[in-house]
Amino acid sequence: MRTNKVHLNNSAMRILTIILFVITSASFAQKKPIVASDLMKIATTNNIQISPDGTKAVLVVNRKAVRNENEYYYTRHLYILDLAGKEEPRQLTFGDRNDLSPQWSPDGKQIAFVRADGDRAQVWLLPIGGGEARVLTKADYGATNPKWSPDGKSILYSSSIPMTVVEGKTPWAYERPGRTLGDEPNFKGMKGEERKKVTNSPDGSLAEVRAWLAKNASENNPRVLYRQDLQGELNLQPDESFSHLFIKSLDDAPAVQLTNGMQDFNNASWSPDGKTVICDSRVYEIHPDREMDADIWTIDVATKAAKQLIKMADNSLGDPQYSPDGTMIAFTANTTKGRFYSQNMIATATAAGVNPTIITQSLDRDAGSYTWSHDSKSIYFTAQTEGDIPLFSIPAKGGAITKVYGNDSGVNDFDLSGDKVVVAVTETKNPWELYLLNLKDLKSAKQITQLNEGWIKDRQIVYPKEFWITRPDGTKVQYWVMEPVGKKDGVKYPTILNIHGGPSAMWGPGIFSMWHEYQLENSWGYGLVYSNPRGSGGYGDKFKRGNYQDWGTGPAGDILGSLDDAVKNHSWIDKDQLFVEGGSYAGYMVAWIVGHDNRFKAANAQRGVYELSTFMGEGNAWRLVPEHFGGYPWDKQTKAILDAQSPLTYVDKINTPLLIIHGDQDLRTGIIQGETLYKSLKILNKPVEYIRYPREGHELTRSGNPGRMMDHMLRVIEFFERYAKHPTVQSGTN
Amino acid sequence: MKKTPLILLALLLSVCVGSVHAQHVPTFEEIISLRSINQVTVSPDGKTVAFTVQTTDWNDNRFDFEIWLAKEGKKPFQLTNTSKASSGSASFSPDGQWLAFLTDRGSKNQIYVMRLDGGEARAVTKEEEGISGFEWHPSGSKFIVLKPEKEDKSKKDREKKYGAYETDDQEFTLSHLWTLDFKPDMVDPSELPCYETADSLKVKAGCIELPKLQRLTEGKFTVTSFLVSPDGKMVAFNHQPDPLINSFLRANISTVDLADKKVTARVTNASSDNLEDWSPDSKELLYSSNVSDTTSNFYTNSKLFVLNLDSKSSRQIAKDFDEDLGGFVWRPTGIYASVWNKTKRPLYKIDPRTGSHSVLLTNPEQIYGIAFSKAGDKMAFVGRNANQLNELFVSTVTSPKPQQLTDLTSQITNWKVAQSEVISWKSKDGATIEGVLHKPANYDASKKYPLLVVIHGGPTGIDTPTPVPGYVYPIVQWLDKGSLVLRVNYRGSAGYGEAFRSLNVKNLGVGDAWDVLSGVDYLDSKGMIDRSKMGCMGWSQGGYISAFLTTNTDIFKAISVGAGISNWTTYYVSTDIHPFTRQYLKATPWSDEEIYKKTSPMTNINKAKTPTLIQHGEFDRRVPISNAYELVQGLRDNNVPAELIVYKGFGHGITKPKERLAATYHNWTWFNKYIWNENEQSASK
Repeated sequence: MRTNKVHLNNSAMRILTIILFVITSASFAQKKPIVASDLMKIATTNNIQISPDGTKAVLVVNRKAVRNENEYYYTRHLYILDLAGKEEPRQLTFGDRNDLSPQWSPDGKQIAFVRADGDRAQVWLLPIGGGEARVLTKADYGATNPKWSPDGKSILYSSSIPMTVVEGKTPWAYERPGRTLGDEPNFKGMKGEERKKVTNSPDGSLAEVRAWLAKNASENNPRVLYRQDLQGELNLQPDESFSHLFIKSLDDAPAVQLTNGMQDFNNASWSPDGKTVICDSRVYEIHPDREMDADIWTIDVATKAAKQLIKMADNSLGDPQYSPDGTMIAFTANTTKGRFYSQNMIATATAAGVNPTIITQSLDRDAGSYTWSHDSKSIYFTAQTEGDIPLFSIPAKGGAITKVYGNDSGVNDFDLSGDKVVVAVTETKNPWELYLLNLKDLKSAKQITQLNEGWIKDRQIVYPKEFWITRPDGTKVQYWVMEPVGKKDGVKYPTILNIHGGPSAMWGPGIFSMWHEYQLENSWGYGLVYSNPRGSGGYGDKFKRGNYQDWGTGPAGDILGSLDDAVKNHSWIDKDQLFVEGGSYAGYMVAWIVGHDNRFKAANAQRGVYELSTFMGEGNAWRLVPEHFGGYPWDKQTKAILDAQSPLTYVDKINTPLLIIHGDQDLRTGIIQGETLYKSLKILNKPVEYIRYPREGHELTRSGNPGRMMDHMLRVIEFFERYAKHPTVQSGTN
Repeated sequence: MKKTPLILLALLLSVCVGSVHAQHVPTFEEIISLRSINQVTVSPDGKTVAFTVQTTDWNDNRFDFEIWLAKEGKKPFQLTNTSKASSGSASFSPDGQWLAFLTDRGSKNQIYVMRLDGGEARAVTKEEEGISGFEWHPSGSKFIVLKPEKEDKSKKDREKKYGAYETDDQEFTLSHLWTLDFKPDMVDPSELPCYETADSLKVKAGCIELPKLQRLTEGKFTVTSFLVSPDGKMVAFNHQPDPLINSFLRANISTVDLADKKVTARVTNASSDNLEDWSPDSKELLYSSNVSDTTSNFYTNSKLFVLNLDSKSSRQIAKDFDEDLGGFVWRPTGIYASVWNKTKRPLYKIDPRTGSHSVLLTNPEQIYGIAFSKAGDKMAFVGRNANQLNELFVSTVTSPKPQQLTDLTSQITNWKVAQSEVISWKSKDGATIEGVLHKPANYDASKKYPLLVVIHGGPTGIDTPTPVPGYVYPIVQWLDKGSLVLRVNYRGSAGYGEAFRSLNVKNLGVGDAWDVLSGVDYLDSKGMIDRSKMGCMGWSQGGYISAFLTTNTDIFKAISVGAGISNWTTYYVSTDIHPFTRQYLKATPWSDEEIYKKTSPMTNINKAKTPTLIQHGEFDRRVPISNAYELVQGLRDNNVPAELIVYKGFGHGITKPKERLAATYHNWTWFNKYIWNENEQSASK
């Protein structure tokens, strides 16, 4: 099944999956179900890069680790793979490291990568012929995104420079009311001795008082906020910073700063002739927090002259890359009309920036990462679609889009060199392995890693079954059903309705993030139903926009409709033993559903939004309010919609036992959301329990502390277990 | 893992002669920052050489050591890159695919392994007590490891209740041998934990973990060094009753069988026995020994023997080799070591059958730290000629033609460095004494020069020609200032045979002073020096001789005493090496007070006139700081200008760059003031 899977069509695949499932449960009874701590064993990769000569690939292997009984952490190590398959994959870096962004030198003799060994991440160089890495950059504010110059003599990198040390004036109107930029001592930009020389006093003149206040503020005591986007991901961000580009030669010469001023230069890369650096940027005529868009810029390496190269009306552009022959530029384009619904498009133009054209429109999907083919004739990219993430190709000047790889699987990362493509793939049978494809013979896909193979071969894996329903308004909705481990005929099982967030995320057999949670819930004896309701990604522009001013009723109808269909078609689902859970937007959805429906035995809402007017103020994802609801709480009409769409409005209707989970430092959807829902239910004397995770933000379940991720999954299961009645002896892991 | 020769009072400084294209005088910092090469090891096939390079890390105020590699005679490159720590003790796996080494990367010294064809190092041990030494087993599938025993828990409990105290000479930690399996494809266990049950999170027994050390020796002795037999069946080891510093005098040799862990005593002389090497056929052991001499082995020759394990009989080899013998390697092609021969250090070969010795290589003039391939056909070593810094050389062993792989001497290409010549003169008692004389670059024979005498430690140290003599003495800068510098190989120095090394017995200080003063007179007799501008200085035994000169002559305008002895009674009772004084003075202070008085600087303190700078490390156990306080107080009581500078936290040597810079600067200003009447304030040139 491993290799012949590639060329099976969808329906054949589905049949095969079902057959396999039967075989799995019947003949591999000695295998053990997935357990919570299997989370620790799942290895993933990123930053695959094939060597210049095409014989090897370097990549980062991500693992979770534990020491001193319960101290959990991540490691990220560099590995090298022999694409000829003669040598075993070889680990290059070891220990408690988080090594990132490996980049082959053009001569293939060294790997540049990013490592934090001390305060700041810097670019390091690892010789490939033997020896340990040495640090190359000594950037005051850290160095990321290294890119070798084509001649191999220097490395381009990015550094995030605080506004306090950026010289010049703001191109935008300064927003601190009644004040002007530079009208107080710039303590944050000063060195120790300089600071002491500044006259400041709480009892002095207004200027001295202002200096004293500025000194206090420079120590973030208090934090003085006058920017719009005050919330970062885990902490407040009172200070603006700008992403600037530097070039560091391999010798001892200091790095050369390529860009300057109060402007960001992101996603930079070299032109093949090494004379130009291309990136995305925009002059901030309004404060950077208010500027949502960028254009394609080039910087002349010799003169450091930066200029806008490509601008497209009604589009925000990014991530430009020259074709290997230097004749064209590819970049991403996102429509500025309804940004939060836009699908990422790939566009191309000539190297001079002429004739910029969006080429992936016909796919009507969100394009993921892309790479030029070596002959500069086509572009390879991934795109989420109907539960999978296939790899596609398209002629660089536009034309027919071809699916290269992927059925019931997700290509998480890839690189190509000549006819060789290395893909990092998630499938139900294995959450993450690498395969080598030959573009001339796609049937030849060959597994080249054993990242998870070792432990997963002893596990009982449950395969999802895919279904579609048509909603009364004609919308087609895709959903999946997974059976509990050890399911027996004629027996009914408790079943969890698991809902995704986003709202524009997409779930399916090709999505890595839920792989373990699905399997764990199945192994605890629960059936599982999950769907992609309107508003989800992977089904085109219209579907994604399907929840405009309607976060509740429409998507809830799709979700519950899928559940109803599943119950109808699967006699083993115990309709009196239904549970529901979801995170983020799906936390909202869980609260919405239990405020309108009493069928569930228990529910769990994670990191959710429960009151939309508050959300506009407290979350860094606040733009969802104007973008998805068409206005602000001070608009009467919008306010009415926000109230009608907020789960909190229906809190007194909630009767389902509810477990609320939130991260202490979640600034995307703040804890005030969980707090308000919890307090309301407590006042109403409803069955509710509230979990708050320390030191965690909104990514708790995806990149949070591995120990807390396990705690999280088990806490939900334990809550459901209080109410679940399993048939006879359950098939859990105890 | 072989023991390096024990250095007692010595701070052996390497030496030699200078360039003619000198351009600028190096700063003190530049000299302290010189990169140098140390430990050399060779792959079994002799094609690859690993060595350590020392650099100066001013930010963290430490000297850093990292492992470098030279593959097949190609340009060497740096292999390890240890942040905030060093890496060393490199050892190639028998198959040549791996390099194992010791490094402290946050949890004491542990064994790390690195593939020689790419990638960083990873730890294969995680021992709480750290690892002291290791060697690959010839099979390549395990290591033999030396590590300290676990600390007695009752000591911690005691400290909880009673605070910190220690009974002198009775509290120590023994070290023993262990074996450790090595699997090349081992997974780092922290990356693949497993648990008893899903919700307990308790780590399950039997899951992947680092291989555990297996004990090889135990008992009331401590292992100090060891060597695995070439056939992999036995480990020979040096041991002594306890790790106290003087217990090396009772070192013996035993073997342990790797199959049944049976320990067999092999060499048990009353005095110190030192394991040198296995015979290539694993049937014999080469060792050096002072045999029954427990009363003069600080200065007599250690002798070389071969023990046949079957017949249990030892035969002495290289009988007529008149130098302290140690550091030998035995390969199928012969037995080798580099040994001092006056101010040179050639490579010698001994024929194991006949026991005769011969010089194998004299170019470069100084050869250190030789390492050989398994077959004994290829070798690598650190060496230099008189005008060079230490360099790495590789060579075949038969008709050697050394090839220099490093160019560390390029560091001083543009420097004004010291010119060196070896001179000799007759001392007061007729003994021939040699010294290294450094002249300024533009030396004018018609002029009389100020003279600075710099005296090495030991007493069994030695000075040799070198372009950048240093430690805490700004010799290159003084030469540039227009002075001569004489470094005296006084009686007792290494390199001149056993009789010369014994000339200072019951004659310490007195004889040494003859050698220094006769050297001064010799230069004066040649009309080279201005006797009104002379100074003298030295560290350790050189500090003692300087202190002796402070109280016994007034010919010097200034003296600097570094970590020197001022009173042998004070020294005897407070040092950690009591036998040293008993051996050289042939008495305790209580059995012969006179000999202690005759040799002690303090005896004539009331006659002292010379302004004296005293430099001492705060926690020096070898020459305790009481010696410095005694001298400075005696000088103050006699109104002699004296200054004591205590280097905080240091023992017998100034081992960190910043304090070495300070100590250099302190000597610079002291002598500039009293000899050149300058009051210079800048901390560096």
